This record gives sequence, C-alpha cells and structure tokens, in this order.
Amino acid sequence: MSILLYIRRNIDRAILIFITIFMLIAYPLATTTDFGKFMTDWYTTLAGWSTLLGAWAIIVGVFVIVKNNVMNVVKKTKDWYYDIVTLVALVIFVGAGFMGGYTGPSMRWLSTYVLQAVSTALLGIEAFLAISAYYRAYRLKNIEAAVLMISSLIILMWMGPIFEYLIPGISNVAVWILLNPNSAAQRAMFVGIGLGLIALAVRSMLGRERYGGG
Amino acid sequence: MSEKKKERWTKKILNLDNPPIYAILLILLVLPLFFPFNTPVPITPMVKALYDKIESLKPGDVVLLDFSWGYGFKMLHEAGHVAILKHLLSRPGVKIVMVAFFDATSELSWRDVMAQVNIEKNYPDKKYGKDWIWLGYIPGGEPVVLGFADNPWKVAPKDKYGTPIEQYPDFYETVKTGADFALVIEGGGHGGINGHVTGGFLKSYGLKYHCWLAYNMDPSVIAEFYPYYPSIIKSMLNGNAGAAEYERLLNTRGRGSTMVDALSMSHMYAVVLIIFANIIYIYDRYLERKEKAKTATRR
Amino acid sequence: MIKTGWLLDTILFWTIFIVLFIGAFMAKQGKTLKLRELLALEGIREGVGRAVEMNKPVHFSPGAGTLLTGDWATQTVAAIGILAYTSRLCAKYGARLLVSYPYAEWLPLIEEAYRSGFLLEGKPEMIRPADLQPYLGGYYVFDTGVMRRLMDERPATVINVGPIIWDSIDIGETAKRIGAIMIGGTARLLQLPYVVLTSDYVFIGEELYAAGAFTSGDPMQINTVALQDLGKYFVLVMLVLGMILLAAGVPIIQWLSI
Repeated sequence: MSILLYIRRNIDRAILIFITIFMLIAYPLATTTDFGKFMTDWYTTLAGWSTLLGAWAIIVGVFVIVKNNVMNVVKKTKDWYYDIVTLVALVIFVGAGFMGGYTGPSMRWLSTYVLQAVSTALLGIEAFLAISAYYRAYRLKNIEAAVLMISSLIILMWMGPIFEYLIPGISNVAVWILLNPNSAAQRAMFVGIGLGLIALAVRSMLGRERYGGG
Repeated sequence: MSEKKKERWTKKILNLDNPPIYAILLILLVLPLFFPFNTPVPITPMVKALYDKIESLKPGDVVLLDFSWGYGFKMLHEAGHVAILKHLLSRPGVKIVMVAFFDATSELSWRDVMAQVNIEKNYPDKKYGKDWIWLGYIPGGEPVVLGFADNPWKVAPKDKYGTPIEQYPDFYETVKTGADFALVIEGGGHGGINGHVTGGFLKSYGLKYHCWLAYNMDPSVIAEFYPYYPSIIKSMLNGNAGAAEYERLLNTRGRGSTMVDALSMSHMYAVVLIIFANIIYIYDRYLERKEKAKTATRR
Repeated sequence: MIKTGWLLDTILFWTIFIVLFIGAFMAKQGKTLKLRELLALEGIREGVGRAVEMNKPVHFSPGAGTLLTGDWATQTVAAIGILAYTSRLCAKYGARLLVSYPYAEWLPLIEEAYRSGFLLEGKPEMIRPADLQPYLGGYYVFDTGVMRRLMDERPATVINVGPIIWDSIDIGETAKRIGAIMIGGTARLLQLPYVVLTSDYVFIGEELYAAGAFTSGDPMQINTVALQDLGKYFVLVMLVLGMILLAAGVPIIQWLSI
C-alpha cells in the first residue's frame, strides 16, 4: 500500500489518538507549573473547538430541513402542506433573527408568544403520558416491581408538598431513599458507565469502534 | 354455539383507555386556578440552607447567579430565581454577577425574571455596575463554564452591553477565580450530572473551588444530584415546590406558591391512581385463580 | 505536577486504560474472553422477527439528546452501532427499517449504519432514503415528530436507544398504544427509570456501550468489554477493604486523597 494511501486511511484515527492522549494527560495536571498551564490552556482551547462543530451543524441542519421539506412539497407527499408551514416558519424566524438579533423585539415576540408557548405545551404533554405510564406499568407482579413501585410512590409523595401534612415524616423517608439506596446505585452506575466509556475510547483508538471515529 | 368469554370488569379497568385518565388529570390541574386552596408548604433543610446562606452574606460578597434554562422550562425555574434574586437584592452590599451558559434563549429567561423583579422600581438603591452586572449568554458549553470558573474576566472581558469589566472594580478586583464567589447559584439543571452547564458547575465550583454551591433545578433531575448533597452541593431548590418554600421563607406569595396547588393535586392523583390500579390488579389475580380452580373442579 | 488529590485517580485511570489495551492485544493471540448474552439484543432479534411476521416495519431512533460533544456523543456512537446491527437483521429477514433522528450532524454516520446492514446482506434494493427522517429543532420537535410517525406507520417494534431525554416516556407510551414491542436503553441515569417503566427490553447503562462490541463479534472488542469487569471487582474490593479499615480507625480516606 502506498504511503499516501496509508496516511489517508489512518489520518482520522491518528488525530483521534493524539487528541485523546493529549487531553487525558492535560486534564489532571496542576496549573502551578508552566507545563501544566500550557497543557490546560490547550485543553480548554481544544475543548472549545468542539463548539465549532455545533455551529457548523446548525448550518447543515438548515440545509437538511430546506431540502427535505422542499422535496416533500414538490413530490406532494403525505401532509405536504405542513412542510410549507415549516419552510415559512423557518424564513420568519431567520428573518427576525437577522433583523434585530436574537434579543431584538421581533425575536423576543416570537420566542415569548410562539416558541415558549409551544415548548411549554409540549412539555405539558409529559404529565399526561407519565400518568398513563404510571397507571399501566406500576403493578405488583413480583418483588422487584413492588420495590420499584413503593419507592416511586414515596418519591411522588415527597414531590407533592401536601403529603408532608397528610403523612408526616414521608419526606424523611424519601430523602433517606435519595441519599442512601439511590446514591449508592448511582455511584455504582457511574463506575460502570465510566469504565464503559474508557473501553469505548480504547476501541475507537484501536479502530475497532466503527462509528466512533476509528 | 361457543360461549364468548366476557372480559372481567377488573380487566376492563386495568386496560382502561387514556381519555378518562387524562380528563381527570386536566380537571385537577385546572381546578386550583379557580379555587386556590393555599397548600401548606413545609420548609425543607435543603432550601433553608440557601436562605440562611444568603442571610449570612456580608457587604462586598460577590454572588454568581446563573440563568441557564431554555424558553420551554420557564415554568420550572423562573419562580425560584425571582425569589432568590429578590432576597439577594434585599441584602445590603451584596454584589451579583448574572450570566447565562445554556443557550441564546437563556437571555430571554433572564429578561422575564428581571421584568418580575423590576430592580429600577423595587430596589432603586441597587445600581448597575456597582451592585449587579449582566454578562449575557456566553456560548461554548462546558469548556466555557470551566474556563469562566478558572478566570471569569478572561472568558467574559466585557458585560452584555460592551463595557469592559475593569470599569466595574467592585467585581474586577474582588473576583479572580471561582473560589472568590461567596455563593454560586445555578439555574436550570438541564442534562443532569453530565449536562454541560450543570456538570460544569459541579466540576468547577463544587469539586475544584469548593464554593458554596446551590442549584435551582428541574425536579426530574434532582435525584441524580443527591450523591453530591450535602458535601459538595449545599442546597437544591426542587422546581416550583422549592420556589414555594423559598417564598414562604420570604413571607411572600409568588408563582411558586400558585403552582404548588396544581403540583399537589397532580401528585395526589398519581399516587391514588397507582394504588387503585394495584388494588384492582390484586383482586383481578384473585378472581383469575378462583376461575381456574372452578374450571379445574368442573373437569 | 498533578492536581492535589488526583494522583491516585490518574494512576488508576491509566492502569485501566493500559489493561484494556492489553486485553485487546490478547485477542490477537487468540485469547477471547466470554461475555454473557445481553437480553436486549435478544429482544431486538425477537422484535425484527415479529415485524416480519406482522408485515410491519421496525422503527429505530438514537435518542433525542444526540449531541456532538460530551458523554452524550459517546452514547450516540454506541446507539449507531446498535442501528447497524438492527439494519443487518432487518436486511436478513426482510423487514423495513424506519430511522428518525434529531440532529443533522449525525446524518452521515446514521446513513452509513443504515445502509451497511442492507449492503452486507446483499440487499441494496431494500435501502429507502425516505425512511431516514430528521426531526430537527430540539427534543420536543423530535418527540412529537416520532410520536406522529409511530401512529402513522404503526411499527411492530420500536427501538429507542442512546442519550434519551423525554422520549423515554413519549415514544414508550406511544409504542404501548400501538401495541409495539419497545426496546429502550440509555446511560443517562435519570431517564433509566422511565426507560425501564415503558420498555419491554432495556440496555441499562454500560450495556449500551457493550452492545456495539457484542454485535460486532470482534474478539478485540469483546475482550475490552470483559476486562471492564476487572475495574468493577477492584472497586468492590476497595469498598469492602475501605469499610473495614475505616472501622478500624485507619485514615484510609486521607491516604486515598493523595
């Protein structure tokens, strides 16, 4: 294989390995030494570059939205008129942003009376879906289900302020659950997830994690 | 002719369709709007800790107040921040640095809170640049949150209005790193422990600089932060319930208190529904065993 | 040189890192460790089979929090690995695969994972670009879009794995309503209870990361997953030892905070 082809095939993995090792070395260094300060500054810079990807993604996102919706309108697919609504909304919001910035009067109006209202309404759906999930899923089928149900009931009661007056001491039980079994289980999960992340990084560096840049 | 087995009434209840369940919830949520019943709100040590800390702040102490919630989460965090900000402004000589890290709409969240607090009208002695400054939304995610803790004025050399921070000596001279903030309050909690703002605050102000750290957070994520309470996180306001508690401590009644009625009703409904469903489920299993025994006896 | 209190952490981290590399290279010598079967992968196989029997599609979504940075990005990478596995199963048994995603920057990887299964099984005619549907604009847009799609398409199996936000409840409940098998999975601890509540099969926490390695069958990957357990055993031993030493009055916490 020619050297150029080898470099082309492995350059992404080389960058991945270099950046990973660099950031792993830089992260625990103290800033009291010059080397530590240099590494920490570069760590912050490299981490900040990742936000550029996010900014670029917004542009890609706009193109994808326009392309998909225009194609749907042209081909008159199912509910294609909603795609026109999407495109018009995109133009209005982008126009409002260009006109006065994201805190300008038009953007503020749109955000307060359209976005906020719609987002809050969509968030409100969670309450109804959660209620039906509780009704259907919390059943005393076995010991594990019983433990899940009883601890969930206690936490639900803790979250509703009135229960402290109906069942005095319920918040103490809830806080005990949160501080003890919940914290213990979460710490155990953190260890497992942390180890999983390290293994993922190792696989990516070895080029074995196909969708992880390796 | 084969007998068509009728579905037991218990099975019908257990497989109840969604509309009746949703309708009752809707009624219970709307009822407190017309018939508020002023739910009593017990004060928890977690919220009292923040109140006591703000009461103990001395003139010259600088507080970092973060507004990191998106426009859809206004109802969860705004009430708490309004109460906290009013309390901070009532303390003589306390300086407040206001900032947002979550996204651009956090600036709108800040505007909504400021509209309710109305510093010019209600706190005329509090001057911009001397008692409080607004740095605006600082993009960049977790690295920026961590960088701000290490060197705030390098990450935010100017305030939202373009004035260099050196022109505000009360802030510039007092705060060099995150450790110089007497109190740090994060508003949002989005993403839980690994959220770019919440996680960043925990790692920098909590674990690195050991600041007095408080969160005004989304109730759905509060359980994730309990491993860090009270050693690293000293106080957590649990959404509107926490806001209502704080308003009680301030002897006021704000949006938190008005939300608490609906909150209590919905939680009571959820508890009653779960218990009801399980009573029916246990009875259904008893009826099923009885039916099986009958069928076995007939054979 | 190292920050105060971080020396032990740094040593432990690099030890685990090197051990995992050693494990990966052990595979080259033909030494492959055994892994237990992940129940949720069995669930995916069952779900695809059910979809073929009922002549309905399979729906896959990588969670509403598929950001490009941080811990959530790694969960998305793991989810896309599961997508590639699902795609291959769908191609093998002849099921249609619908994919919904919330952020445009993942499109290239999602598209590659989607296509790879069909191409590997030699069924490129089954690839339908229109089945890859973006719902851009935030998690609520994604949630409602996917809910609408599920109600329209009525898949037999719904797979929602990755950095889940509130789609655990939204997609889970909708899947229940249409009578689909729900397979969920996330390493986001606060969403895990909702995923467990609404799903028939669950990838819990690190099982998400392990699934990608599992489905590939690659000995190097399998070894890295199996050797993670060494880290857990070490933590367990430290916990028990620490409790005993602490009870005996030994200042173990100070020693560990070097």
